[in-house]
Amino acid sequence: MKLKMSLILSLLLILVLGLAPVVSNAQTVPVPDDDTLVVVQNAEPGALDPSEFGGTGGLNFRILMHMFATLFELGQADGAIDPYLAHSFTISEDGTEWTFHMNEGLTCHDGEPLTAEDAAYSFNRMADPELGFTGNSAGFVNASIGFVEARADGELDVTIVTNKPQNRSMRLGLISEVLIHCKDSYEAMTLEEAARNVVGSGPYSMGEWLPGEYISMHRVEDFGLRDTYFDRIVWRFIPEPSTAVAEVITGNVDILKDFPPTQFNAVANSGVAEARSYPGTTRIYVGFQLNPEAQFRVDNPDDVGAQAIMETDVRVALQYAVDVDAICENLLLTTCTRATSLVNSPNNHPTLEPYPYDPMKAEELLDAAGYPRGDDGVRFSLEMKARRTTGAGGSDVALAIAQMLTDVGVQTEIVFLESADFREQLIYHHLGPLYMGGTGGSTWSAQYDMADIPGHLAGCGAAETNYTNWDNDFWCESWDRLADLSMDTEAERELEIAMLEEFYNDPPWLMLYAGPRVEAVSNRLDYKSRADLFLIVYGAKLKDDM
Amino acid sequence: MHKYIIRRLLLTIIVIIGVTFLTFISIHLSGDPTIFYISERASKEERLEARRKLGFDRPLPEQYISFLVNLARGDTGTSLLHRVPAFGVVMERMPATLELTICGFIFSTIIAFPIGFIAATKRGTMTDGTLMLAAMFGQSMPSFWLGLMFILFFGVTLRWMPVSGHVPFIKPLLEGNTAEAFANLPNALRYLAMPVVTVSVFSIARNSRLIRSAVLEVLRQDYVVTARSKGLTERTVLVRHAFRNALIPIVTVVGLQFAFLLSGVIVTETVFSWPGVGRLVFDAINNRDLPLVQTAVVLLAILFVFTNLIIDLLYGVLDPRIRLE
Repeated sequence: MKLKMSLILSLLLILVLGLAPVVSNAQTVPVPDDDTLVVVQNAEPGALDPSEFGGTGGLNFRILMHMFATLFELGQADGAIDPYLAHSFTISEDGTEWTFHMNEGLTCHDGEPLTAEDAAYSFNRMADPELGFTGNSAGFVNASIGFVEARADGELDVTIVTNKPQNRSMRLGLISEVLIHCKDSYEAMTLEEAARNVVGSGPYSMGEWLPGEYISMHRVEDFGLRDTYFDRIVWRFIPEPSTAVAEVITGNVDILKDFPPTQFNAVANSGVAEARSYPGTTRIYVGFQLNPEAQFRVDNPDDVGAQAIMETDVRVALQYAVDVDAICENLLLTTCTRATSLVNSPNNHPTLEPYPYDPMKAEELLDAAGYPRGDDGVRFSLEMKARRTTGAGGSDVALAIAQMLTDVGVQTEIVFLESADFREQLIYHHLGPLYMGGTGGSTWSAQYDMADIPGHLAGCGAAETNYTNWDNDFWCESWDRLADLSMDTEAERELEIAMLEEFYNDPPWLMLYAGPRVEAVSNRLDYKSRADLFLIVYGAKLKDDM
Repeated sequence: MHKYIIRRLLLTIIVIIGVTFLTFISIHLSGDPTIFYISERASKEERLEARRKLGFDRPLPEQYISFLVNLARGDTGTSLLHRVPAFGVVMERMPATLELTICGFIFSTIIAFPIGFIAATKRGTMTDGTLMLAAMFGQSMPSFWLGLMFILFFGVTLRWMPVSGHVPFIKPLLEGNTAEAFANLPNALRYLAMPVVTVSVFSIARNSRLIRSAVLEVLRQDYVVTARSKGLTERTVLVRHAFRNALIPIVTVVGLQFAFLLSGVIVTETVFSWPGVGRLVFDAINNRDLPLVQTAVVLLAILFVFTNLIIDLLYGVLDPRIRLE
């Protein structure tokens, strides 16, 4: 009797599960079809306020930039910055006021006309101290361009007022990170409402947001500034990379940017998706902490290693000890080009050759610098701080570098820190003596990449983003001069090149590479990957034969 | 009985103060949360300003007392990451976690009882050995590995099960959309199957071993020998005399299992991309979203205490000699 009951129950369960796909009005997880593009992100954005996204690689920025347009757009092609809501711009004689001329006939998703007043409002809103925004626009763009105010100088002309002239590409690129939103709707919303409700200005409008699951968005039919091909884009949130890869392999996902290179072959051999590997823009390096007041130096003033890396000769010697090609081939499963400075291709130094892997030379230079091997074979010891992550700047790479340094007599021990501790010590210039670093970069401006280490006016060695505390007079003086040369492109580039040479000769970084990106793209798609952290998919379309 | 319940509920307040205090201290011990809410390029002045706006510039005791006062008013604060009230964010995710936990609890209990019981009654036989070996494997397998293996085998290779995701059942039910909830049920079960098994394996293994030893312990008691010597059938001896008396230690552990499942499904939720509280809290801790972590901790602590209370009340039902005072 009981056996019968168990059998009936089991059959019932199988029936219910089997019926699942054919119950027509049941909700299910979105999958790709002719009208729907499915993209994966590893985490969900917290809020979708256009003034409050984190970095440009941030989760909410990637989503928001499909729903909001910008005055200009950081284009798909390397170094390109394309017109978007604005078709052109003019610069005042002193270089401090930039007036953007917007296209006619633009509309917001609330149906209102999109004008210069909305653009000015967007800039002023993100800078409004009362609103307390701390994200990328308010905390980075604002300070980087020296934002003073934005004003509408007519129906379609918006002027961004700054306190300094600046390199054209850099400023245009930064302004292209500010999302333009619609004044009437956002003025009517509280911050809390604006965190969940999106009234955009871009090619897609907000659809459904199922917390922890996905955000969907729908094509704006009359948006004429960009070609779009899918009626719906769905952003699924899958935190575990292996699960995300499994979804790609089973055809449930179209695009997955940045997954562990160890799973490259799984995607490549799936027959469903293409695995792409290409140089990214995140600059991966090992930082030499040069802050004389860093906590580890204060705690242990007799630490030979911590003092040794203060010397340029030692830092140059260590460049020869690291085999970047081997790291890329064996750990990242790709090839990469070693960096010669902190600037990405194509804006890096045009002629400098990367330091070659030559451990013998490293040893010679260390001997010459006054650090011979001791009886135990050790010249001095160092600690390298790292995060437990995977990929281009991950734990494996840190361990490999530590071993390579140890091989030339610099006994290096890895100390893994929790992400929050790492970030805190980094920001306060206490991380070191060595640390495994990675910082976002660009393809469109040398100075954007160089801005990590600003001039004397911004504090030089003590400047916030100068995490190694590198205090190089030539660099810092030159940086301050760059602003005055912004109208003389040739002289400006000449000075940039001289600065990059200085960086190469007095390196605050152990230079590695622009972190390679690994991306999975469904075979059904015609989609161009991009090197930077952005993920812009509105241009993706089905292949002609699909 | 009533006095006992009231006293236990009052004790809940002390528990909540304790857990929120520990959470508060541990989050602040791991550094200044402000750094998660500013650009890495922010100047010192901007950092200080952000700190002030977020309220982290106030002395820690003041921050904590202010949290408790607001909690007493039913206000758990605004999530720093989500920028909306933290309570709402946690409650949005609670139904998904409850689906996983309740199903995991039921499934693990249904499977663990017969395994433990059979192993005890067949002590020393091949059946006992096989079942306990399987239980040992189940207890040893990390759930993230098991989850990924299920995905690989049933999701990718056989394509029988969806790899990840969630279809809601409890949420539409709570919102009064009964038709939607039941229309979703078949899909909900399909998406639940692998996470539930993953989350249950450890519980099944542990509980079946515990049940086996509890039943064995009872089988050695004099009253069982007496029952047998009275000529009762083996089935009556086992079910009416042994099993019921073995239930007290089992109920304690199985009951707490529910609370552990509720607060401990982070790994399973992450592997299967399940939109529950565990994943939410994990992200909140990584982002030092103190109001959100505190809110989740308070809610989970309340559930824990209530589960304990229910277990205590069950003692009285199972064994009338136990009186709660």
